[in-house]
Amino acid sequence: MYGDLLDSFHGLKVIEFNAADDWKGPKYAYRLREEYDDELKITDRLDDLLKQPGATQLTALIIGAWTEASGGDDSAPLVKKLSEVASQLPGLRALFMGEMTYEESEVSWINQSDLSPLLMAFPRLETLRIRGGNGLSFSPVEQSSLKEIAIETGGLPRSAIRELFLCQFPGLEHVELLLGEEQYGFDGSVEDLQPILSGKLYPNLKYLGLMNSAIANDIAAVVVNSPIVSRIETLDLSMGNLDSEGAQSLLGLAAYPQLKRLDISHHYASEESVAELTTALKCEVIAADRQEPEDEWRPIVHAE
Amino acid sequence: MSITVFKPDEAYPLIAAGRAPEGMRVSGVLDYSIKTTPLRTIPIRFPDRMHVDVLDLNGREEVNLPDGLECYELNLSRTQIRRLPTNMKVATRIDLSGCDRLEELPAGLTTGTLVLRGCTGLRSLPEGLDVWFLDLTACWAFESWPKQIQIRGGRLQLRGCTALRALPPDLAKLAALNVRECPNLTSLPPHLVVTGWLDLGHSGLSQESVLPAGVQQTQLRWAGVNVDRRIAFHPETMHVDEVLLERNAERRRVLLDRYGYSRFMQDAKAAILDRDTEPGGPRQLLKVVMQDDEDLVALSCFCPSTGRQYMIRVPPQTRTCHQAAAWIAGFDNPDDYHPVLET
Repeated sequence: MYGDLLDSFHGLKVIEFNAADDWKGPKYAYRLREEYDDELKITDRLDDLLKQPGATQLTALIIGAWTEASGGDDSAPLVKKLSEVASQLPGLRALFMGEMTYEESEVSWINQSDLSPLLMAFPRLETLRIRGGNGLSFSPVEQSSLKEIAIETGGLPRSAIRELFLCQFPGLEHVELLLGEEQYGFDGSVEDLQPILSGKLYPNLKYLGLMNSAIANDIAAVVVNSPIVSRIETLDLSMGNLDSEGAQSLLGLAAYPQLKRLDISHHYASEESVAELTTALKCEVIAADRQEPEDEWRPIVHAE
Repeated sequence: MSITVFKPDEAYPLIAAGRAPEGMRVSGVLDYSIKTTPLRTIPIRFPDRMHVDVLDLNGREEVNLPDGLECYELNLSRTQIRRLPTNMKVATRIDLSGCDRLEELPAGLTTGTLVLRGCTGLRSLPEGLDVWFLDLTACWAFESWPKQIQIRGGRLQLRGCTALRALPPDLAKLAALNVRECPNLTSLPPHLVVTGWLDLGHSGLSQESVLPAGVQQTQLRWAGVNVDRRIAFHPETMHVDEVLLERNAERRRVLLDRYGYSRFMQDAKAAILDRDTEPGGPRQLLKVVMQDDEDLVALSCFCPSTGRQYMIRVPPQTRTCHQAAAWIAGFDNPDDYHPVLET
């Protein structure tokens, strides 16, 4: 679960913006959030933010907790508001939609919506991070500036995976999909990842994250046979339930010399199988946060 | 000129009225599945060259696919379809599970996942088939592979393909291979590498020596449960305590299966709950107390026609051989079970 909010985003220090006093110029990333039943809503704060000197040069924005994010109110009104003011944020390159801690809303309770209007409104956006998979969708959109997309969920519906893959993001270099588990909305299988694994979707992909997954072994076994691994620099399978079987599958990565980094942190593999993997691969292998392999219940990092 | 893209709610009435334009593009899911939209009128004909993200026709008896259909995902499961049009394009998934009338697929069929679960009429696959994931579970008539076939490193599910005698000789890489209950499959292609798991429960792969080099390190499964090579190939070396002390019920089921019921009842010093004599020979009702699980109660009996001895597990509350035999024959009340003649 997410216990803390980010200190930095898009390489900039994050400041929480509540009033004009908080404005420190456009070289910071600003977070807009509201307390439960706050009189001042995120939309009011955004209006305030846009009035600050140099606000048009802002590059990074975080939309944090909104009232009833987990109750019933989805992100649609915020998507609409942001789209309406897009012309006042011509420099925006990075947006985080729905950054909240579990105390504000568990990741699986956050209600998202169709986020494609944001990509149409901000044609030069390069980074989009999203937290929450409920109601998440992408109507068809083509946006060639987008370099990085991260979708953090406790359970990513296969409909959202399909819609994402049906969008045209030819410039993507960095993809993180926190797939989650069945109980919290992941209703797919490794088969649903085939379009990205085929390598045809994102020709410039360097960072492939198929993370926080309850089917980490299945993913490992297929990913090593996929054309995409001959092109990426980082394979991130962290936060899931990978065990020795998955580590054994990943030995096949030794055939791909361009790979620089493999991350399997938060895993259930034995020390011996991790050692074997580290020896076999020439790239950096990050295998932190080892869990007990003997446990039959093997939770992933972000579920509820 | 921009192309009109219809939303499903705009497309349904046009299709129903027969006014959908040729080459219509629909963004999203056209859901005609019997379980979620039983009242939705199925069209006589979809427009030719229709392009839709998902077309779901699950459970519909009458299916008439248009010429030149294009989709991301096509669900035809439990339909009466016999053959697919030759010129359709489905990018990621075609689900034909339970299509027991299906006879053939078009040559050169290419998609990500092809599900043919329970297509019991299917005997062969088309030339030039190109997929990542292929599910032929319970295709018991399936027996011959095409000369040209690509399975691109995904999963090959063949459970219950009882007629199958071999895999495609050029098969190179799979993430997982399930040949459970393929008794006639006795070897694997020499250059096959399986990066994930191989389920060989009750298959013809009964000797470790038949596994090619690329499968030597593969995780083995027996009926869905991870097992090591000794359990898979040398059950005679097992000790009865391995079964008795195993705490995981799924794993214990598999260990018992490998150990053999008859041998287990003998070695576990089963208590005799009841005994009698039948036309086939003597019968015994045996019981072994299992830790953290229901008791294992089984009827030991002989087949009256073949003379073979069988050990058949029955509900743990069974007290007599007669009750057990009645339960095996499908009677809820043992008093109703009076066999005149057993063969």
